[in-house]
Order: sequence, then structure tokens, then C-alpha cells
Amino acid sequence: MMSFYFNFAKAEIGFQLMLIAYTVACIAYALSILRSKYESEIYKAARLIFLLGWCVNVYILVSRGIIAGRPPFKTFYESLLYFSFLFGLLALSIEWLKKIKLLGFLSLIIILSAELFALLKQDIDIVTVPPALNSGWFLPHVTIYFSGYSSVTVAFILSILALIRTGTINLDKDSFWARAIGRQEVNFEVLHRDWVRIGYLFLLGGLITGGLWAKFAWSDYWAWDPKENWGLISWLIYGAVLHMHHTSFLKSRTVLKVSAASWFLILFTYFGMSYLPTKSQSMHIYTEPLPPDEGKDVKGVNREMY
Amino acid sequence: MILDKVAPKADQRLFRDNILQQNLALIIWVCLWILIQHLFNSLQWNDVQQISGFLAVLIIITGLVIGFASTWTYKLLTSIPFAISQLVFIAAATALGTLILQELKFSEYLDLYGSVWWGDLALLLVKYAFAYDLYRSLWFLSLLALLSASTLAVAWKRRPYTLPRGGFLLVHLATSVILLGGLLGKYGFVRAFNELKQNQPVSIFWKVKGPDPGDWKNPFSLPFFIRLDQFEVVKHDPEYRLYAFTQPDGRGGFEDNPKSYDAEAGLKARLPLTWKRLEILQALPDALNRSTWINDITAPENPVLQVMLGTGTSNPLLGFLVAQDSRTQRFNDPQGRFALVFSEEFKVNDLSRFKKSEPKSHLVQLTFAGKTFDKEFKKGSIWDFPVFKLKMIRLFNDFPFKNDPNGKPVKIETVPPELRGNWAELELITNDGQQAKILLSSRNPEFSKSLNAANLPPGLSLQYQTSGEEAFSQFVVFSKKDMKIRLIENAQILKESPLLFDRPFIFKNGFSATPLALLLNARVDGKYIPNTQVRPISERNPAVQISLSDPRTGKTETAWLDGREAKPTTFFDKKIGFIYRLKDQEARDFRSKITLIDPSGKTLAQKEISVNDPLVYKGLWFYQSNYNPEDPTVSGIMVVYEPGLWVTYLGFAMIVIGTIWMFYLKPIIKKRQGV
Repeated sequence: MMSFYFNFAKAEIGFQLMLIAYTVACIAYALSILRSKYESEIYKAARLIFLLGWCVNVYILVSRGIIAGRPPFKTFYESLLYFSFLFGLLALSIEWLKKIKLLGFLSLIIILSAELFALLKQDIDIVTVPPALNSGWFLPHVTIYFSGYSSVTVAFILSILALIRTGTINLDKDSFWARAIGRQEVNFEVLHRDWVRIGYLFLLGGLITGGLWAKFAWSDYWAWDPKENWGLISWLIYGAVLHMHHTSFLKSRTVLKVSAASWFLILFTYFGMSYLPTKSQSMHIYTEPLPPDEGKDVKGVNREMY
Repeated sequence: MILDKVAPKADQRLFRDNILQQNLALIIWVCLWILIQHLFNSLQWNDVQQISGFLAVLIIITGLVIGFASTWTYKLLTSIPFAISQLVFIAAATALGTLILQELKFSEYLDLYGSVWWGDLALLLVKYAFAYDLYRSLWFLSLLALLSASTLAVAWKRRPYTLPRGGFLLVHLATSVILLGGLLGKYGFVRAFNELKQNQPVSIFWKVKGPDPGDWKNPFSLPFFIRLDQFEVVKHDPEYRLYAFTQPDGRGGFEDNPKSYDAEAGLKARLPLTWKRLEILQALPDALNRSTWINDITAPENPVLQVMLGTGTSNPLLGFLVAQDSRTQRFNDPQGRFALVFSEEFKVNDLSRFKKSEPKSHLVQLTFAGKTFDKEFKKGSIWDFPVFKLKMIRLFNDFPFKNDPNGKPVKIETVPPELRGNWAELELITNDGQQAKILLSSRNPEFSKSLNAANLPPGLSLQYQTSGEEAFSQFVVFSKKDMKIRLIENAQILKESPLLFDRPFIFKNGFSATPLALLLNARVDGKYIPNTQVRPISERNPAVQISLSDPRTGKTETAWLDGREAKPTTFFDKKIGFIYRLKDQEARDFRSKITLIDPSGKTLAQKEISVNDPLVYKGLWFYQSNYNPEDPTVSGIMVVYEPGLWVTYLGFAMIVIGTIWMFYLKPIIKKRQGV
């Protein structure tokens, strides 16, 4: 807890403002769901503060990009900022259109978790990129992959909402669920399937752009690298989830549970690579610089992972 | 059709929907292929023969299926639950390969997994299920083949092929197209590596199995020559930043995530987690150090002796010896004749330290094809490599040549000190039987390099390293506790005098050491001035002067920070530290200008390749692979030939277009068609 406080104190002012805005928005969403008093005013404020936080998020990324002269996702800190930007964009757009307050609240919980993790990592300094990342593929590959991560995270939230929502809701009555879904009927299952599809397509695009880039940078479009493998594993499992939608022998709740569980594979693909026994064999894991005598290999020296 | 007739319809249905049973069946399928690979291995088949055998067995299985269970198999392959089973099973198999390290030797697996509780299972999988090279094992390939069969069967089932179904068809055909591309790549795929020396065309590369350029094996001949015209490491301009540490860890260190600042004169900021204020007073992009040691009674005890060294010339040397720092407590004569040492206390037991001693270890280091190998020198032993051998012949305690290049006898006293010391003799024996004598100096690797240049293949470098030796035999030792100066030679005290200031201690003809001052609480008094001479960026030495003030007490501390000082400079009783250092030193790019030349000398292609920008010529991709930091005229180039690449890329396009078509265009097409 203390290290969060210490690192927050050392963070850049923009990051501090963004974190405060996201936290306040999250609390406001919770209040607008839990209380009927001043519900619409608090809800409006929650949305505006969410938007404000997201704008600061954009500002931090753009300013870092300009200072660094490269896309702003080299370090873990930057990649988490980029994730919260893309995921925030999706969550805010869906929430704005569909008025699902609970989606706004849960999205902010995920964004805040990502930011707190970034705060814990604290690789905040703007660093240069090694030659392998100095490529025109860097921006599209990471953007497409992170759009995939963001989309399946939306699908994860929708699967949770579909699972916890049981029975019919009387929208005219002032209840938790009526407030949480903005007093309108929402078919979470259909929405969930749509976002799994979007996520699946982006994850595929990420795999393919990664393959095309790798052929230019590392000479292999596919090298069975642990990070590539986990990208493939999560994509295959989401492929299985999509197939499950076409089966009659599985209940829809089972499909939702499998889909929700699949999101943890994405989490592992993003955060878990450093814990793999095969991390030393990955060209995607670069949290520690290589020793100088190994630094002669020009392919993957000291890159950051995401 | 036998199985189709034998299995009751209800059972068929049950199996087609039962994911657990299907996964058990997949395990049996995998076991079958493990047995087949063991059989192939016992026949000592190479990779290409194994793939051909794999395809032959697949054809036989397909024939048997068509003959005996076509309907049953077709229904199974086109069932959605079986598709789910396969996807999950392949995902699990892929995950297994990320848990077991790939392509190690069995002894390395024993070291890794021998002592952990789950190690037996890992070793079992490595030993019997080819988990050491999982993604190239036949059982893994058999799962991909089964997936390909399923997707083809599903594509066939979805006839007639109407426009809305185009996406579905593309997606399911794409799997087979991608795998076909990979399969074609198995035949004729080449990855080879060589270290090119500037202006020395070569046509032979060394084949490597994986992406590691050190894993070189057999030669690969190009139908033309490749020449390195120029190699260049492009670096970022160095950027120095100021790092503030505000969390002392109680053990003399600080946190590992300091706050950093742009080092610009005039910058003012409040330090995080404190009330103290930072101000950058001066920032010099290139500074000259005019700092000196001064005595400061408020500083901790740190004895420093100022000594003047007379060398028989009109310019005596002036210097400081720091008793508590092993690096700066001694001054070594560059000519190797004596060393001056300042110690806090001299003990008789220390005498044995002050004598010339032989190295405790002798190591030969070889760098070739981008990889470095070490071996302890053992007389008569042979170091075996695929294309040459190195035989360890003997060691010399001193300069090994008895005659100079003109044939005149060499007087050992006249040999420059940097060529004396230990030498090693080796013999290089190439596969075609040629032998060459190699002599390596431990003190002067550069000299050994030029000496052996004609005998070593391009890109091969050898070094002889010793450790644990004492190169000096004569020492002048100043001792603080008993205030004495001793002249010690080979652990014998030859002369002893009281340490008196301004009185020369003559220890050798024409040489004297005169103590000038003893600073008991010494600290560096920093002073930097701007360098008016323009130096290259890499040689510049930036420095900043900062002040730190505490508004609550009104106290201010000021100090200079040197851009080359690695340790933090501390303030306010070591509660705050600052380092001014280079942000990072990543190279921006590595570039090699290469030319492909046919045997008649005609230029076929020319390009400046870099990481991310290879040269592609008639299906051969030439990559910038690595470099030799010690030799800027050498560049590591990798060549890759990959048949089937464009088939795989076609598969990539099909699966992306197909998915978009299936998810998003299909509803639009259907709507337009009025379905």
C-alpha cells in the first residue's frame, strides 16, 4: 500500500490527475447505481469525469509520443496507459450509446486496476526503442492487438453482467438492476457475442501483423515463441467460444462462463510471460536488459513486453 | 464402412457430442504418433525423411478411413463439438511447449527438472513424448493435420457455395492453406549465417537450426558472392538526466525507481515525498573536472594521502591515494616497475600480498559466428568445432619470442612491458588438414589479434585471459596507523622510514615518493569548468551543479554532479541522493551495405540492410543479424530461404477476409438478397 503512495507521489502530474478523475468517476457510477437520490445528476457527472480522465489519458500518450519521437508503448507503464486509452474509448462509447451504468463502473474498475499495476511497475521514464521495434509495423501491430485485448475485456464484462443478471427486471420500478442498466432492456448475451467476434477478429489481426513484422525483423513469421504461443492459445480458445454459440448441447450460461474464463488467458498473455519457465527463450520478454556480452544480437535487445 | 455399420447410431451421436470422450480419443491419436516417431527415430531418419514418412502414414490413414469408416469420420470431423475439442486440445498442447524449455540437451533437463516435485512428469514427456522439440514433433503436427482435415470436411459440407457462405468457406480453407505453406517450408528451408568481413566476398554460409546464430552446423553455398561494403552502428544522441532518490533503504542505498528531471539550468522543483526544493544552478554539456580532495571535519573518516612522485624528470606527478577504496588506494606505474599503496594499517601477515605471483586461472575465449565460448587452458587438450580444431600447446610466463622479426636475439629487458606477462600457444587445425600456430598475449589482446590475423578465418577471434595474478614485484607502502613508509620487494621489506611530510622517500634510482598531506576526513570538493574545446558527443563529460534547500530549516546544500559518476551523491545526512547519468544507451540501428556479385564480378543487387529491412533476392532474404562490438569491419548476416512463404501469406489474407465476410458482410449480403 505504501509503495502505491510513494509511486503516486513520484508520478507525473497528468497521471495523478487521470487516476483521480477515473477514481471519482468510478465512485460516481457506483453512487448513481446504488442511490436513487440525485441519480441522473450524479450519472451525468460520472460520464463527464470519465470523459475528462480519458482526455487526460490521451494527453499523456500524445505528449509522451511527441517527446519520445515514437509510438508511446515501449514500457509496461506506457502499454498499460495505451490499454486504458483504447479500452476506455470502447467502454465510454458503449456506455454513452447504451447507458449501461454497470458497464461503466466495471470498466473503470478494470482501468483503475491497470493504472495501479502501472504505478506498481513504475517504469515511467521515457526510453528509446531498440532497432527491432523501430519499424512501421510497431504502431499497427500493437494497436490492433490492444484493440483485441480491449474488445475481449468488454466481452468479459458483458459475460459477467449476463451471468449475474437473473430473471426479468421491472424497468418501471426503482431497483438496483433498473438503475444499473439505465432503465432499458439490454440483451447482454447478444452484445457479448458481438464483442467476442470483434475481439477474435482483432486478435487474429494482431497475430497476422505480428507474423508479417516478424518475417522482416526476425526472419520468421512464426517462431513458436512463448508470447506468440499464448497469443495463439487465447485466439484458439476464443475460436472455441465462437463455435460454442452454434452448439445445442451446451447451455448458454456455460458458454458465458467459458468466455469469462477465457479472458484470464488474455490476462496471462499480457502479464504472465515473465512467470513462464520458458521466458528466457522468448524474444518478446525484455523486462531485464541482456548482459553486455549477449547484447551483440541485434534482434531483441532489451525490449519491453506486452 | 465397417465402423459405420458396427457403431450404433446413438453411440455415434454420443461420441460426436461428448467433448471428454473426444479428448480421450485425441490423446490416443497423439500416442499413436509418438510411437510412429519413435519408429522413425529408430530408423535414424532425418527431419525431411520424417516429414515424408508422416505424410505417407497420413495418406494410408486417409485411405483406411475412406475404405472403412468414411461416413462416421466425416460426421465426426464436421461436428462442432469435435471442432471445440480440437481447438482446446491444440491450445493445451501449445501451452505445454511454453512450460517445458525447448531444444535443450537431456543433461540440461535433468539439471532443471531433476529436483522439483513435478520434474518426473516433465522428464517423462521430454524422454518419451518429444516435448524437447514439441512444435516439430509428429504428434503435434498430427493434431494440425487433423484440424486441417476437419476444416476441409466442414468446407465441403457447406455446399452449395453461395455468396453469403463465401466467408465461411475462406476461413475454413485458410487453415489448410496456412498449414500447407508451413509444410512446403519444411522442404528446402534454409537458415544460414556468416560474419562478413568488410570487402571480403564470401559465398559460404553456415546453416543454423533455430533463430540462434551460434547454432551453426553445415555449410550452405550461395550461387553468387556476397560482399560487405560497410557496417555502421547508428546510436541515439546521448541524453543525460538528473535522478532524485528520496527513499533511503537504511543500508546505504536508495529505491530503484527514482524521479527523473530534465537537467536544465534554472529548473526548480519540490522533491517527491519531502519538503526539500531542488534547483539546478548550472548545467554544462561538456565540463572539465577541477575537483580536489579537501579535509572536512564534518565528513566521515576517510583517510586520503597526497603524494608527489618524482621520476627523475622536471615534472613530478601529484596524486591522492584513498585508503578505503581498493581501486584508488594504489597507483600502478604504467611501465610495470613499481606500485604505490596506501593502507590504513600494515600487518606482517600482509607481506605475502606484496610479491609477484602467477595467475590462478588461464582461460581461452573464442568468439565465432556471433557466439562466445570459454575453455580452461589444459596442455595437450583439443577443442573441437565442426569446421576446425584448436589444440592447446603450452603456456609462457613471459614474452615467448627469442628472436625479433629480423632474426636478432631479443633481450627480455628491452621488451615493452605491455608485451610481457603471460602468453599461450595454440594450434589451429582446419578440416582440410591445414595447421597454424597461434600465440596469444594476456596483456595485449590487440597485439595478439594483429599477430594472428593471417592465420585466423574471418570472424574468428581468440583471447587468452588470466586472473588472480600480481604483476608487480616492488611496492612502496604507506601505512597510516604506524605512520611509516616501507619499500617491499617480493614480500621482503628492503627499507623502512617514518612517514614524514615533505620528505622524499627514495626507493629506486631516480625515483622518490614524497607525502605532502594526510586528510583524515577527506571529501571531494567538486569544481567543474566549461570545456572550451569542441569534442565529439561520445567524449563529452557533462556535469550539473545543483542546490537543495530545506524551507523548514533554511539549510541549503550545493554540489556538482559528474555525468560519469555511477554512485549517488548524497545530501542532508544521506537522506537524499542524486545521480546525473546517461538515460539509456540503446543503439538506434545496425546497418550493413551489402552487394551480391556473380562469379564474373557483375553486381546482382545492392542494398543497405538494417534490422527490419532485409534484402530480398530471388527468394533469399538477407538479414542484419548481429555484430562484433570489438571489430566494426565485421557484420553478422543471416540468409533465409523459405519456400511456401507466399502460400502462408495467402492463407493469412483468406482468414482475415473470410472472418470479416462471415461476421459483417454476410448479414448485409443476405439482407440485399432478401433472405
